[in-house]
Amino acid sequence: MKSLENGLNYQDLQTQLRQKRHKQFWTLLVVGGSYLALSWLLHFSNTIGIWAIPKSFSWLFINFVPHAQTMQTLPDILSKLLATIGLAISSAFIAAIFAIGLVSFCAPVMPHYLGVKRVVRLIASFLRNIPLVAWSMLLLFTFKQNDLTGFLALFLMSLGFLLRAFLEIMEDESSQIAEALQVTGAGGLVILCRGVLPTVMPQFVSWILYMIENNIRDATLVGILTGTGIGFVFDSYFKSLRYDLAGITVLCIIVVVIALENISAQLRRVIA
Amino acid sequence: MLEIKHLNKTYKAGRPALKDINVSIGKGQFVVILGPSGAGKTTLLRSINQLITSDSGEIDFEDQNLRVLNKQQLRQKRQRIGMIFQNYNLVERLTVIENVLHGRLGQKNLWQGMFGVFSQTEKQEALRLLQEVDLQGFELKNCSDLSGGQKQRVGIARALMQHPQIILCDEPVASLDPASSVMVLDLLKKLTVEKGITCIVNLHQVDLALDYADQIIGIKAGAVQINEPKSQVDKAMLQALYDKES
Repeated sequence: MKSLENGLNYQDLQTQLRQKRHKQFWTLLVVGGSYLALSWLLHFSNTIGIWAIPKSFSWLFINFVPHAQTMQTLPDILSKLLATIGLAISSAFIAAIFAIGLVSFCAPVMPHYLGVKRVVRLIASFLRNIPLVAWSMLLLFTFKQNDLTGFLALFLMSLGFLLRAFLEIMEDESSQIAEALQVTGAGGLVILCRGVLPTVMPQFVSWILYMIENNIRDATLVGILTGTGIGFVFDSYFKSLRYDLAGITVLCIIVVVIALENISAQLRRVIA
Repeated sequence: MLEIKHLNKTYKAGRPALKDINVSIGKGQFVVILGPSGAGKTTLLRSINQLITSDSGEIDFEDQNLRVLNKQQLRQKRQRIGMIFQNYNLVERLTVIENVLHGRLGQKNLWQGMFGVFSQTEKQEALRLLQEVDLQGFELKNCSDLSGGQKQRVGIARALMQHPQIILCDEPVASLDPASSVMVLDLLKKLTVEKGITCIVNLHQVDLALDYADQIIGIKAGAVQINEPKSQVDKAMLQALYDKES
């Protein structure tokens, strides 16, 4: 392609645009063709699929709508939901404490910087690359059905996620401030406490809030798998065909998630 | 006060950043380092306080070669060499007074440093320094709420809190508007005259260099091309410094 400094004549421009259009056409053809070919291979009918959507929704609304009698179980559901929120928040907090501790060793001002950082990165990758479902199942076999299993699954996922995020923040934000305090003659730990951590902490807090939101959503799934918390309540109502109770459970989860998202958005604004 | 002898630094083999630098700087001098981008000005400045480790040569400050000091000795020497940065490098989330007090961190023990415990004398000195840099009333403001010129003055107060013999200034006015630039350079000049502190300043603006400098060091392609009192520096020398052909 000719550079703009050398000038682009009309003929060249037309060729460039034609080539771009051809590229778009072929991309569309490959994506669309693959979709149709795979649908045919899996015997998936698009028409039936699309028509099933309104039917499914009307089934949902008919069966999942709670009625007056459903409300009697609300205190039980809320107490389980509260336990789930507690689990989500505590796992995120404990993971954050561990993550801050580990990431602190990776600050540029700390000794043995490179070696420790590699180990911490390895831990983060290991924890993150095993999906939550797999952690839940693995821990279920080891610790059986109880709250500790759910807590550990959420804790390990949160730790992997927060470690990764904190490492990136530490790398991006800490070098300039570390240098500024280094020239005063301050040592590594002092620079970490007085310069690096105050600089990165607002971003750390923002990620911890996100992790809490995420954990509340994930806690439901973990609960289904490990037989604990609100997830277990939903699962048992659903399997015993008490759709109205399953419906109110889902409604409670949605309300809590939205409320927490709003609270954390407000908190983020305050610390920004 | 500061003697640099045969200083060399190479980042990439075959492309030296500093070539046999020999410079002598006296007490209370306002020294400006000039030169085109990539000439080695920042490398030279950062080599002085060992933020960059040079390959060979000597950096003699207070009768000691900074290049051969161990970690502990270097930390002690750094307390006597302040530095201000182009991007201010303040802890923006903390208050102005806390940032100024950071200048004392090198002289604190581990626990005092970690928890930011400062004596009454130190706090009073920080307040006085803020008055000196014309920032009274800003003590409890967060640094993130200040303008560029104000941030740079906090940086100067932090450096002064170290009781330095030398202040290294890495392009201190590059991010500032002309009025703030003059204010910051006036302040630095005042420090050299009134307190006898040596200021070594990297600058891009030749006109400002000619206004403020006592001594001009011109660096081109890692080598010293000018090392003269300002009165000895003429237009031709400066043209040659920035001339791409020569």
